[in-house]
Amino acid sequence: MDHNLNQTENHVPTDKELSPFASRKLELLKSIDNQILDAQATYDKIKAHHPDQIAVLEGIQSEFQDAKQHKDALKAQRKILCDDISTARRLMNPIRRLPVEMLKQIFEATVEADSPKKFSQALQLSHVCQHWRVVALDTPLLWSRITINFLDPLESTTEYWNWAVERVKMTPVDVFFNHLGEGVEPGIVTSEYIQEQQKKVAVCSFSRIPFVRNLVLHTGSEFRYDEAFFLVTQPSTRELGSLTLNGDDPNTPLDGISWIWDDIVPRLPSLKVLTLEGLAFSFDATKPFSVPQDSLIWQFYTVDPLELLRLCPNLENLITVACEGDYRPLTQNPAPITISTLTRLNISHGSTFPWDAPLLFPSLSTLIFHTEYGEAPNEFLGFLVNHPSIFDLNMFVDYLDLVSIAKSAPQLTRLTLETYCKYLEPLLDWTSTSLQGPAFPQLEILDLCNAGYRTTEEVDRLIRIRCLPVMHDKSELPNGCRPLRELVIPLPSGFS
Amino acid sequence: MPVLLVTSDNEQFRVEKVVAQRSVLIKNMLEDVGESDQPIPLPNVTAPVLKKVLEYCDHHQTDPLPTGDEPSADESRKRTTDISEWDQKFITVDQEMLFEIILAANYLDIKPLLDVGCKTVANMIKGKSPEEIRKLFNIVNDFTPEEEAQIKKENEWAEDR
Repeated sequence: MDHNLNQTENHVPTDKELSPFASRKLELLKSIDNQILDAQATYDKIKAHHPDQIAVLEGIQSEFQDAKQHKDALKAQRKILCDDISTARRLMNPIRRLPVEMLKQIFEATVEADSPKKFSQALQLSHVCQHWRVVALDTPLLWSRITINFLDPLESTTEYWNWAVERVKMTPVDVFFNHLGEGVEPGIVTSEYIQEQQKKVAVCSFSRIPFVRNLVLHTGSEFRYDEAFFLVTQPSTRELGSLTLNGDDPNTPLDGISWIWDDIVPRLPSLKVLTLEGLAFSFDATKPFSVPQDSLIWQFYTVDPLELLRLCPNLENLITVACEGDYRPLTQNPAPITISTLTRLNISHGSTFPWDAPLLFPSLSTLIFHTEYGEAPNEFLGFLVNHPSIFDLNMFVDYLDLVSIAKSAPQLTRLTLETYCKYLEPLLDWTSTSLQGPAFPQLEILDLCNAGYRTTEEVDRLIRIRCLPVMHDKSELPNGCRPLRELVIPLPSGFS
Repeated sequence: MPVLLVTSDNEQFRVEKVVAQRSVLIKNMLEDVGESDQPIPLPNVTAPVLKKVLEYCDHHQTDPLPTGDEPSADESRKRTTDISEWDQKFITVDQEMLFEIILAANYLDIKPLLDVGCKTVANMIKGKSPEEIRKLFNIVNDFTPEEEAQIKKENEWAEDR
């Protein structure tokens, strides 16, 4: 079989066998030649018909390229010009021409000095552009309120504190420590929590702040005594203008917060202003004011403000806000506490005060007492009698025994009263009282702006009896009674 | 006795001495030269700006002059952004003129006018975001990416401050 196949493959065709293929080949060649001739004829025909179209197309393509290049060049030129105009506009902008000192003055007027959002406001200015940032960061007054939130993480607290103290330079600074001892359930304080608090306290070093104008501690009930002590005494090497101790929400004061005053206060440099807010006093002298070093500031301990005041011999201004208290002397005759520098005592927002405590302020000139509810206690009158230096009294009480007050402090030259007008009669009519004449004959300034509604007749009487004859043709100013220099009163309708 | 003031664009203003002396610069110049009718050149102030400044000085000619002895009063005056009704109306001008008045007040040493100008700009800025301030004064944000990162961090601190 294989032998037969090989024989077929090796067979060479004869001329006779190839003859039909040769004639077929000739036919095909002839046909192709004819087709080429036809195609050439068609090409020649087309070429003859559109002789310049290709050249035109090539020309258009070339022009298109040129236009594209020109457009790109114009675009680039336009961008350069726009940038130049923008730069020129910026340079020509009038605010850029202000000297740095004036820009600083504008910045200082932009932030609100006592706003809790002062830092945010200042920060906005430093985020406008590089120039403003340089000027703002070099304006210490913008950064003079430093607020540390003890609920923030340690890293953030550290970064912020370092950033802030770098800005303040020689400017007096208000430092607020908020949420001290908060963020845990009362009574459940872990050692990790205490360590974290201590680290934050350690971060806030006062060594780089030359003058702390006001140090405000807003404490929760779980803030450790020794940390508070550390914070309060830190500025002792420099200066502290005013200290504010704030308990929890003033509306829900703690029963008492304990501070070891004799440790803390002597280390403060000549404290002149002390503000106590929301700290419910208990003037219970049976409890010592010192508590164990490791105690928390906790509601079962009590404040002894008498001891506190004893330790502030240079105090000029004492303010209590929403502090309640009474006085229960431990001994029969406790040694009196005298602060000869104190000129202003402000007991406000429902605070009470140990008026019967053995306190003596020989220079006290202004007394503000806003009980808001109830009346001034009897002990208050005793306090007035013991302080004849008071010439300015400002009271907000529900009930007012003006005759008793007039007897206790006849020397007043300025009186501001916020009470019902029915209690003001002794100012005008002394015939039915035990007074020898109108109450407070030395009075020069009387502010009754918030003393309730007064009728036209009452205002007329006030002017007639307490003002100079030149002001009222029927003046009844009694002998020995000084005329009012200033009367502040809302005029009833119809009064001319 | 009137005083003759000459602006940078060579315009002359004849004003009463009491009005011109609201400017500490002019007051000192007058004290230095004594009684003289020599014109006082003000090369840093153009006529339209001086006209506005003199309008202010004329209105406030009876105000007590700041003494400079009371730094606390000076500070408290600067801190508040309250502007009297007349001053507010007076300073309601376009930005270009506002800054020209501030610069002139600074040059002529008229502190109350400088305060009014600065407070007006401060009031324009108050409550605005950095982007709004840029738009207001045509300022370009030119912070680098590194500065932008720092700004982002600072904004986190601002949350409750």
